[in-house]
Formats: sequence, structure tokens, C-alpha cells
Amino acid sequence: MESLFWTTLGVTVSFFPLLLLLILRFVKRRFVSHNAAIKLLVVAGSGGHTTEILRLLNSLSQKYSPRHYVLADSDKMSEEKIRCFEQKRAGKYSDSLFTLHRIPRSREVRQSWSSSVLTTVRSVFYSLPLAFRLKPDLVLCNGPGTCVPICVSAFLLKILGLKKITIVYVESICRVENLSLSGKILYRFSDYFIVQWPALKEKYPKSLYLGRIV
Amino acid sequence: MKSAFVTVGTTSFDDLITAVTATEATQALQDLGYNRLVLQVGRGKECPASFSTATFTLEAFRFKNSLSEDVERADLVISHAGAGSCLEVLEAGKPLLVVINDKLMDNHQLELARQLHRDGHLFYCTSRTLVEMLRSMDLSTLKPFPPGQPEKFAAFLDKVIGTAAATTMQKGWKKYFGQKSLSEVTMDEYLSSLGLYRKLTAKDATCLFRAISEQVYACQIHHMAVRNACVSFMRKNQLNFESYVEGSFEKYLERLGDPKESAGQLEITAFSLIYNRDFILYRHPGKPASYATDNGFEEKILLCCSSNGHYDSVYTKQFQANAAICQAVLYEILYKNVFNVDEEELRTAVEMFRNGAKKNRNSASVGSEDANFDCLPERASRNSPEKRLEDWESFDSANPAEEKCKQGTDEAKPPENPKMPFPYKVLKALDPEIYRNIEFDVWLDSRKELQKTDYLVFAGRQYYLGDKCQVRLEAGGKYYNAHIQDVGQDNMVTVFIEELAEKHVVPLVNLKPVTQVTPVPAWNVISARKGGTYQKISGGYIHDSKFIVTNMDIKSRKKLFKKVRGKEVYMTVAYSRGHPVLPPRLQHSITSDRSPSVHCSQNGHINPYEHYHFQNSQRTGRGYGMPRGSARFINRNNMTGPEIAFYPSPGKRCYQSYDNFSYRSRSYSRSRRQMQCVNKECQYGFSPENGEEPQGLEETITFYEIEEGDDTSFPALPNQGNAAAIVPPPAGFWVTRRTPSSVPPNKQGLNSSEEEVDEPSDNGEYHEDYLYTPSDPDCETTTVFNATESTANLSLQDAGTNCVAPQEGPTSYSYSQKVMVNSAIISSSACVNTAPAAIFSSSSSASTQVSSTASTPQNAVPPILVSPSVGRPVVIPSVYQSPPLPPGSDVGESGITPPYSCDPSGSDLPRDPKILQYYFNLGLQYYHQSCWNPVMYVQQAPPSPPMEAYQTYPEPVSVVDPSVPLSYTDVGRNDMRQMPVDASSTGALSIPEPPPLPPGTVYYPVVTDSYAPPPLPGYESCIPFVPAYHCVGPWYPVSPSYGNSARIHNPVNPSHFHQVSYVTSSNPALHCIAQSM
Repeated sequence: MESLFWTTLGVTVSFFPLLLLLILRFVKRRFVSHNAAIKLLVVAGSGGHTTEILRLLNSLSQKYSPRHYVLADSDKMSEEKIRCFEQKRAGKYSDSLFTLHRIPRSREVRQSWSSSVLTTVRSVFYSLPLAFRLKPDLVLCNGPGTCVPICVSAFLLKILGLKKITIVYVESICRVENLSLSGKILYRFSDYFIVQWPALKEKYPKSLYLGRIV
Repeated sequence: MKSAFVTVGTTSFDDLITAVTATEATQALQDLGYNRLVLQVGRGKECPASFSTATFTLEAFRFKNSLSEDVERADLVISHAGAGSCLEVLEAGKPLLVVINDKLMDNHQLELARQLHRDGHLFYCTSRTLVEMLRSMDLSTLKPFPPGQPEKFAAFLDKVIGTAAATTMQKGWKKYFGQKSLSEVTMDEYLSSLGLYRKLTAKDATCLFRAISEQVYACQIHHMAVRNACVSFMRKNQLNFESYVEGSFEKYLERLGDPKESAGQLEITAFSLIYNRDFILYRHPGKPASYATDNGFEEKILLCCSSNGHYDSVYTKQFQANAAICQAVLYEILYKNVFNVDEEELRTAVEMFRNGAKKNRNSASVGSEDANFDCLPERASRNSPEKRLEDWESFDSANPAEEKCKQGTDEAKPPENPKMPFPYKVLKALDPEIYRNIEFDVWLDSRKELQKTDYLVFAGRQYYLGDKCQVRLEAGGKYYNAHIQDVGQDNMVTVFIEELAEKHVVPLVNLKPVTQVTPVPAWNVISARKGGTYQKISGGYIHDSKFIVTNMDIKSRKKLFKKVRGKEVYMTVAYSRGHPVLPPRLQHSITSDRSPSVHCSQNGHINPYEHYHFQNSQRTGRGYGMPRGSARFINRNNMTGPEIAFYPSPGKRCYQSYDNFSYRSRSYSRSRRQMQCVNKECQYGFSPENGEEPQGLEETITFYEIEEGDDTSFPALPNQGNAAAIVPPPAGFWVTRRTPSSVPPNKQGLNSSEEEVDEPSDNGEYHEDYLYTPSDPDCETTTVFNATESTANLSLQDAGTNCVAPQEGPTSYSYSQKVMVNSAIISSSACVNTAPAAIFSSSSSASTQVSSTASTPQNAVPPILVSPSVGRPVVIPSVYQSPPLPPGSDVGESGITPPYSCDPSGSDLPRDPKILQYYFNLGLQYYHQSCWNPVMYVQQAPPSPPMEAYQTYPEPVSVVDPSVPLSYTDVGRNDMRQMPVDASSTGALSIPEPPPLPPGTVYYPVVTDSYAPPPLPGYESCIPFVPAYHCVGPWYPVSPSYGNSARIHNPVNPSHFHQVSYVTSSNPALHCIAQSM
């Protein structure tokens, strides 16, 4: 009898936080209004990726703010591009704020597959707390290696039900016939997978083709 | 001096540099005429030295933060295969030769180059084959590179995030009919990737039949015949269909015959046998089509079936292209030969439409709002039809023609302004590149019509059984008290009339809520309209005291929510012709105690009209009560019925809620001219600060209509002279200050068409020239509702706030139409003759409640409307009503003219207020003529005694600052039109901060207006309209008593209400131009 009591107690205690979590989530869901601002987490890669993602961001409306940029720590060029983009945007929209975050690079260009797994795990450890802290509504990335850990952590956040996050992956314009490595990985994780060439659309039916958007 | 530019991007590409600097390459370049070579070497090992010979110069550098000038200057760009450089060069429109770095073997760069080469945008080679490629390539064959469309991505994201983030997906009416849902977008994408095109079919039960009739008979009209064919076929071969149907087969067939019955798989099998065609169904984006029937027929019917069983027909893109061209040809014939529009104008219109402004690139067009437009896939042409369409949507405002289906003649409305020669829908059809889904268009319109009549019926249910009401048997007849027996269908109500003890079935039109307010004996209905020039307004309210006044400025509100396109104009015209105004005596006879009982239920939240509070006036005798009935009526269920003022919630929601509740049916206005009882609340379409819906219905302003044939009263003003003589400019120009695409107000206001509201621009912002706040959140639309008029819209502030404004019954009905300062608007409002007049004053302090600006709280834009603190000149055009006829007599026989009154105390003034009223008006009218020079009235002492009685009238802010008054008025006086422009262009009119004035100081509103065209001889006005007694014309309290002279300001005392000034507009004739179209 004694043990029965304890087990039930243990079970209820363990279930209690989960229950609380669900209720919280339910309550939180009610308050999201349609045109509330949308917290955006953008993964900026090196060179071409940043220009592409900034072009996409440029067309977004005012409600996508604040914008959190995540860069690989070894990436110099992107920061400067992002700052001048944000300058322009601040002129256009009054209250647009953004933040820059750096995480260790998950994979150097042309780094061997095996070692990149290690580095990716390392950067996942960095991106998880970041994702937990930021709790973005939308994660937007277009292919640099660093987006894999971020998307994985965002995905984790989603599974745990802590935050309703939409992961949007836009494949880079250079990819005409086959996906980049991170594209292949995130094809399953992302909610919306956008490609820019019809050929890719055939190969990956689940993806979306909206014409050339960059 | 042609130059070539070589770039290797951020990495290094030494092979390219060595190859290009090798002599054969330089020689080849020179042969091709390039005598200048610029090298961007990047991290390359060596950087060649710059040198220049007579015929050839070479420059080299490693990095630059931006290569755009080099690309711009170059006539040929040789680049590595990096995506960034490729795109940059192609978008700059420069010929591009891409050199692949085969050492890299990371071939994704090659992929892009090869694809772009296949699309004919560039040439590519390796560093070894550079030289012969240089010689062999022919740059002229390169096709222009269409820029990417990030806005498609943005729209997609908005939709996606909208659904994901928001828990409640607004399934508004609009969405159901017009907008493409997300699944539709993906489906369309999928189909377009297969080279197919989904033609939207009417979203009702007839969709399958329409689709089949269209694919078999090439038009959708025979969908009923198709349905009957199916029923008879199934009846004939009952045995092989019976097994699929549970229950009685006959009943099933019967139900199938009813057009409201949708069809399914069983019917498809039947059709396949009837028309021996096989059905191919596309059900899910991504999945290949499934054969619904497999009877081996070669002819196929392609359908796209959505999850909820809705069928759309599917055609090949080729069909769409051909159909577009045929459609264009057909429309051209239609317009050229049937409507004999001249060739040239047609061509220019189409041309203008085709290369419509490209500027509006960022209006997203994914799943474009305009569901019924199916445009051809984006072609290589620079401005894809789709983009063109978006741009046009921003222009599309005026008057989409009532298009019947293709066979019917297309009654094109005469183009109003040169810029928009043809209605937008017609232009879509005329454009050979756009295939306009006309059937769906027509269906959408019929849907909207239905929607409106639903309101009507819905409104009809306002009358509950046993409701007391007033009914008249024939239009214009006498009203009897009656009880409602029951509410029939389509606007018929059976009533039991007490006096006649009979039961009648009466159309809703002739019904009127009963009003308890005791009739005011003195008033009698304005009768004797001259020669019927005045638009016959049948129906309408007679409030107990049988006094009918049509409250002109209500028209502004009416216009506000009465979004009836043509009708509105008609209504305005009707009003204008009648422009009956509350007779002065009525206006100032309101005693506060007798004032209408209906209070603005919104405590604390005073809408700008609230403060037209009529202070107690000496002449209490002639109290005029506001009909309570109507208010009672409205309060019952907060719904708006046709007779009941529409009650929009303020602010943007005002739009939405208007949309849902709005009673704006065309049929309504056509079926009867019932004046609406206008809910005061609707005058201020401001987003309520407190965000909640104002609870009860505020006071209603009831339109009263000039009744015909009643005894003496001020004769209705037959203004046949100048058609829409006093067509007050529509009150509220909702001019979005910031959105470039906002339609010029004058156009907007004068002929705001109802149609437009249905075609909001792609990004959800309604570009229509509606008088509503375009839903664009960040644009601040302000409307000045300047109801300065009569008791009719007496509004009592909440009990809490005492109302200081002694505003005597302003006789001048003025539609103040706040024209934004932004010059574009002002210039375009040239035709709206604006009189620099005291403006609706709302000091910012009270602005939240009082401010007329509809600025949604979140946008920081200060209220455009000039409030003293803002100091920006706003020019309010207003309408000046000509003075009424001498009471009780037509101009013709007006015999007795009272002697001059010279006694300063005014004792020898004529006793009869009507006469007083008349001559006062006459005096005032002449006062506004140019014959009065400004000096004259500066010294004018306040006029006759009744004036003193009025307490401080916190006179509205006038734009004028001391330095400018005289010139201002002069200018104002002689030519109204420039004034607005000058005022705004100067913009420098600074309004000094007004010192707080002790209450009780008497001021007079600055009413500068000029009645530009002298009233026509024999011009009689039915409106006993005298600019408010106390409004002494352009009175600039220059006298020392006002301290720093002509500074006009309004006491910024929050508890005070800012009385709207009496704005008199200038030459009304001007308005008629637009109106009389």
C-alpha cells in the first residue's frame, strides 16, 4: 500500500509541471493576435548567403521586428552588411530593432564530414540557450552551415511545446539542381522549404516554388 | 571607349587573371573594341600593375566595398561563377561572361551558370577557353534578366505566419469569396509547375456543373441544363446508379435538380457517360492527378477538386494564353464597334495599362487579392502582367464598369478622369496578356449584391412583432401609427393601422419607427418645392412634429458610411438639390432641457460631434426635440437597419464592422430614398482609445426629409440653377497621408465608389477611394466630421461634461472636408473649392476624444487636422448654403420687406423670426460676396442681441495667424481655389499657442468663406440656412479686447468641447462638376 501511495505521488508530481506547461501554452496561444509583431531569428552565413537573406528581409513588412541575427563567429563580412541594411531599414520604419549574436561556426567550407559533426554539436550547445532565450516566432535561414544547429534547437523548442516556432528555409539561388548539405538536413525539420528553381521542385515535392524570390 | 571589367569576388581566381591579362585575351578584347580593362583581383597571388598605352589601359585592384560603379561603367563583365556577382551584374543589365573555376570542383557555381546560360542570360566558359569564347560569343542574343520578386516571399510569409501565429484565422466574408487561401496558392503553384492553370469557378453548389458546362459548351451559362441532363440520364439508367444511393433514388434525383444541391463522384461518372469524356481530378498539390472515370474516352475534362468538394476547371497554360488573346480581341471589338470608342483612346488606355507604373513593385501578389484575375505566368517581359496588375490595382479606384458576362454588352461608364480612361476590369480584359475570369467576376459581384440584400432582410427583422411604428400607404402619403403584425420576406411587412383599423402589407420603405417626442407645433414641413426640381425623396421620416429637415452635413456622414457608389452621388445630388437645412429658428430654439434625450452613451469618450451641443438659447419657446424613437429603436439590438443609422464602431474596425453591418446596399438606395437616421457615433470613425466597442448606441441623427405638399414652411430650395449647387464636398476625405497610392481625395471624395472596397490592393490595404480608413495600419487617415449643424444632430455630451459651447444652431451646414496638407492632395482638391475657414478645432489635449483624426493610436503621426498645438494649416472646404427664402413666400411674391433696423438695441427688428432669419441670411450672403471688403467687417460689432446670449463659443481654431489674416481672407474671398494651395504650400502658417481664455469671453468663429458665384437671380433657397447667428462672417476679433488681436485659437481647456466652427464652403457649383457625371 505504502509503495502504491508513493508511486502515485511521484507520478502526479512528475506530471504536474507538464500539465502546467500545457496550460501555460494554451493560455499563451490565446493571446497571439494576428498582427502582433513577429520575432524573427535570421541565420546569416558568409558572402552570398547574407546578401540573399537581406534581400528577402528587405521586402518584409514592419511587423517583423525585433530581428535577431545569428552569425558564425569567424564571419566578418556579414556583420557590416547587416548593419548597413538595418540602418536603411531604421530610416524606413521607425521602431525596428535588431540584435547580433555569434555562435561558433558549425562547419567550415569544405570541412570534412566527420569533423563537422563534432563542430556542429558544439555549436548546437551554443545555439540551444540562445534559442531558448530569444524564443523567436519565426526562424529564417538560407543555407549557411550555422543554420543547422539553430534550426535543430528551434525544432527542439517546438517539440517541447515551449514556443510555437515556424522554421522557414530558403534554398540559395545557386542551387539549381540539387540541395546544399544544410538544405538536405533541414528539408525534414523546416515547416516551409522554399526553392528557387523548378528543377529542385520536381526533385523535392514537399518544397515550395514561388518563382525566383531573390 | 568601351571597357571590360573582370571580377573574382571575395575568393581568388588566379587562372582567370593570368588568362585575361595574357596578350591573346587583351588582343581579342581590343579587336572587340574594348580599350579599357579593369581587374578586381581579390586574394589572388599577384596583382598585375596598372598600365596604359595609347590604345589600351589596364587597372587592377584587390578589394572594394562595392563593385557597383565598376559594373555600371563596364560594357562587358567577366566574372567568376559566384551567385552574388552573377546576380548583381545581370540585374545591372550588363552582358556577362562567367568563367568557371574547374579547379574548385565545387560545382554548385557551375549549376547556376549553366542554368542561367540555358535561360539565355549569360555566357560561360573556363579560363582556358576564355579567348575563343570572347571572340565567338554574340552579346546581342542575351535576354534581359527579370529581377527576383522578394515581395512574393514576404506575402507568403505574412500568410503563413498569419495562420501559424494567430490562433484565430479571420475567415471574413472577403476571405471566403475573394482571397485565395494558402492551400489554393500551393495548389496553383503545383499546377503551374505542371503547365496547368486553374480557372476559379463560382464557389457554390453549381461549381461542378459550371466547370463541365464550360469545358463542354465553352461557357458556364448552361450549368442548369447540364444539371438537368445529369438528372434525366441518371433517371433513365436508374439501375446502375441506384446502388450507390441510399434512401429513395427519386428523392435523391429531386434534390439533385435543385441548383443549391452540390454534386459529387456519382454525378461525375454520369457525366462521363453523357459527354463521353474522362474526368481527371487534381486533388492534392504535389500528388499526380487521379482518373475519376476510366471509360477510355480520349477527350478529357480536367478538374481540380478541393478538400471541401469544390470543383474548379483546369486548363493548360496554352489555353489560358489563347483565351486571353481572344478575350482581348472580343473586348476590343465590343468597345470599338459597339460602344464606338475611338481606336486611339482605346489603344492608349491599353498601352497605359500594359506598361503601368512599375513603381509599385513591392505590393505582394502571391495569391493576389483579386481572386478573379488570372494572369498568365510571368513572362520574360520586364513588367510581368501580374506586376502591372498590382500597379493598376493601386490606381484602380474609379468606377469598374458593371460588366455583364461576356455575351452581354459591357456598359462602360463614361471615363471620369483622363487618367483612368477605362474601368480597371475592362482594361484587364483588354490586355491580351491577362485572361480575366469574367464568370467568376460576375459571380463575385452577384454574391456581394446578395450579401447586401441579406443585410436588408436582416435589417428588416428589426421590426419585431407588435412593434409600434409609423406607416404610410403610398410614398409621400400621410403616416399612420401602426403595429407590426409580422415581418415578411424581401422587405415586406404586414402592419395593422390603428386609425384605419386595416391590415396592410407595406414595403419596408414606407415604415418608420415611431417617435415619442412631442411634436413642435410651430414647425411645419418645408413644402412648396419649386417645380419638382428638387429630387423627389420618397419616404423618409416625419418626426412627430412633422418637421422635415434634411440635415445636410449628415450627408457627409451619410456619405461616410453610405458607400453606395452611383447612388451616393445620386444621394448627394439629391441632397444637394434639396439641401434642406434645418431652419434657423429650429436650430437655435433648442433648449438644453428639451434637448434630445439620447445621450452619447459613451461616457467620457466624446465623439467630435458631441460637442455640437446646443446651449440654452433665449428663444426656448420653439424647442425642437430630437426624435427619441429612432434612438430607442437602435438601442434595441445595436443593429443597424435601413431606417436606422448605421452604427459603425470607430476606427479601422469601423470599416470592418461597417462591412459586416453596413447597410449599403445599392438596392436599398434604389428601392427607396429613405433617409437614414444617422448614428452620430458613426461620425467619428476613430479607433476608440479604450478599444472597446462603445456600448449603447449614441444619439442618432435622423435625417429628415423635405416632405412635399405641406403647408407653409421654408420652401425647399430648388437649386436647379446650378445643378448640384450646394453639393457639399464629401465630408471625410480619408486621405492616407503616407501611402503613396492613396487616391487623390477629390476624386476620392466626390465619387467614392462603392465598388472599390471590394478590391483591396494585394497587401490587404484597401486602396479604394473609400471614405474609410484604408486598413493600412501605418497610414493615418483623418476625417474631419464637421457637423456643425442643426439640432438634428444635437448631441449631448455625457452628463459628466458640461458643455460650454453655446453654439447657436449653426445654420450653415458645412461639410468640412479636411484636405491633407500634403500638397499633392491639395492640388488635386483644386476642384473642391475650399474656403479657408475655421477648422474643426481639437486641441490635441482633448484630441483623444475629440480629435477627429482617425489616426489609429499606434501611429505616431500627429493629427493632421490642425489643432492649435499642431499648427499646421488645414483648409476646410465647406459648403455655404444660400440664405433661405423669406418665410412663407416664394421669392416671386415676397412682398413685405421690413424697414432698416437702426436701433442699436435691435428693438425695431422684425418680430417674426422667419423674416429676421431670411434677411439676416441675405445680409450674410451678401456679406460673403466680394462687395464686403475685409476692413468693413473687422470693426463689425457683434450683431443683434440674440448673439450676446450665447456663452463663450470656444471658437474653433483658425488656421490664420495674425500676420496673415487679412490677406488670407482676401485671398479667400476672391478666389477660393488658390487658397488651399497657397495655404498649404506655404504651410508656414504658424499658429501661436493660444493663451487660455477665461470662459465667458464671447468670440465668434472665424468663418471666412466666400460664396464665389453670386446666387442666381431668383435663386431661392429652401434652406432656412443662415450661417449661425452668432457667426458673424469672417470676424477677426481684431479688437484689443481680444488681447493679441486676431489670434484665433481655441481655449485649450480639456473640459471644453471644441466646437466645430461653422464652415461655409465656397462655390458649391464647383462640386457639381464631379457630381453631375
